[in-house]
Amino acid sequence: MGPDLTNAMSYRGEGVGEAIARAFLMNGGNGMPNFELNETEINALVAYLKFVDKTGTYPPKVYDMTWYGMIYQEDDPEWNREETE
Amino acid sequence: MIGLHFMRLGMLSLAIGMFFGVIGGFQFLFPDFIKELLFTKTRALHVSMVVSWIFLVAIGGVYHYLPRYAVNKLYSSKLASWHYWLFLLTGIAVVGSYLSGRFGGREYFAFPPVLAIPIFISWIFFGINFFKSMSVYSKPWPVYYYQWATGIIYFFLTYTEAHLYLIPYFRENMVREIIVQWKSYGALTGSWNMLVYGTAFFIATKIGGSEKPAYSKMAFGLYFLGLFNLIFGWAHHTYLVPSDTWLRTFAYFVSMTELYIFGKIIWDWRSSLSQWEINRHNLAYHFLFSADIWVFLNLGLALIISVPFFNFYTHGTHIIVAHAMGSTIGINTMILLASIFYVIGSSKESTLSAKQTKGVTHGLKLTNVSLAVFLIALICAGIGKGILYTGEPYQVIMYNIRPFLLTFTIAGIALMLGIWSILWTAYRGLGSQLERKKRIETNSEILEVN
Repeated sequence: MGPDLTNAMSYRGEGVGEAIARAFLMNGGNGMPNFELNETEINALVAYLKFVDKTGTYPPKVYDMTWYGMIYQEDDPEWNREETE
Repeated sequence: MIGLHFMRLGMLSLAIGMFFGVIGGFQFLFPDFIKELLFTKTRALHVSMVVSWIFLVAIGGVYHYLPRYAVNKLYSSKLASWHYWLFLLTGIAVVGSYLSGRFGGREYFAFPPVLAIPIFISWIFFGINFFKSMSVYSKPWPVYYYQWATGIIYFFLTYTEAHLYLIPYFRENMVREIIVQWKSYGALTGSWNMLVYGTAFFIATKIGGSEKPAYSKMAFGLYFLGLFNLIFGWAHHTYLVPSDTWLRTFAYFVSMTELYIFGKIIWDWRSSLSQWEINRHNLAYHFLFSADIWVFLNLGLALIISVPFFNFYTHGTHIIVAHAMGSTIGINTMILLASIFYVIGSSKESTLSAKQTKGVTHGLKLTNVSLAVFLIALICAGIGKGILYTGEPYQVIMYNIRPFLLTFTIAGIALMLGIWSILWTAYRGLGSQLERKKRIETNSEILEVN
């Protein structure tokens, strides 16, 4: 199983994630082989990671659980904090 | 005969697919291992080939059993042959595309989507042959024919769903695409499970010598529960993807209905043991009994990861891999091997010698023990990566769980050797059946000429 990349772009601050991602994609490292990707492929992967980053946070930091084991996250529109507390 | 060809092709696919799995396991630990064959290739080769094993042997069983137990002959042997050749040629094209680094699809089917077309067509051949053959079956259907029919129809629907990403509406929104993709895999595995579980029910009925259980209310009740889960039970696949809460809650409750099956297995345990005493000399029953135990353990794990709270910690960890491996090896593979040995055992031409039978029994023992170690190692690695995670960098987590991953890889080698030893006997057993049938056909042709 690879590392979770949901927030790889914003994890270390603006611009840093992208630079690290580009370095990894160009050279490999830390167990990831160099896939010899070309510039277009690297740009496409970076664009994809940026899109993913905006979909939410993983692992969720603020969440609640109901008595029957259902998880509610902070970005859940139906989350009613009072009900679960 | 075509059924036996499908089964033998499936066995080859499994034998080679496991080999790529072991190479992939080593590459995961030592990235420089066989560098020329990247992990991205070995992983795809492993997944597609072992999934093909499940389909090929399940389909082979249907083609083999239908003209022998349900109807006088298949609707069209020619159509079945086309199905076989289309599958084989597409399979070769898929392997070629992976080896040359041409991908394009999604999980299970990472090949360029154009190769999905012949698979669709071959499945249409299969569907026509099954339903046309069964149209002359005048008696009420036992439950296993319904399971096969459902598996065939549902594969169409879920395979289509798995390719919806080709439509820009789905592909252009990543969240939408992931929801549809992950949901479709839950139902897709459900559709092949219908084919495999139908096979299990079929063999169990034939070994038991009575058709009554296949018509019982309980059998149909469990079938409908399985169908209900097939349609709606994608819960643990999509919890973490942003979606409506009611959808996640509904899927959660649907998956919990399987608690009934879980309870029933415990309830029936005593009778299973007495059945074991009766059938302990039947090789096919050995495999069915093993499958029974793995069903129990894997269903337990599936129920745990279907609870959102536990899913929260286990998602994206090796525990999910343990769930997938346990289901496909422990349950599906055991049932399919039971099917192969049922075919061998019920034929006069390919009776196994005492030495071969002993070899298979030892192979099964090695498979079961190594699978247990394999799964425990994965679960331990998953606990280390998910449940005990306190924010360490990825490299630290991987360093901590490395002993478990090493155990998993070594157990994988033992597992491969165990299954290979079983396949070796099974492949030759079916081969002697095919040779004998060929000889009979040649003799009858000579007689006709004379």
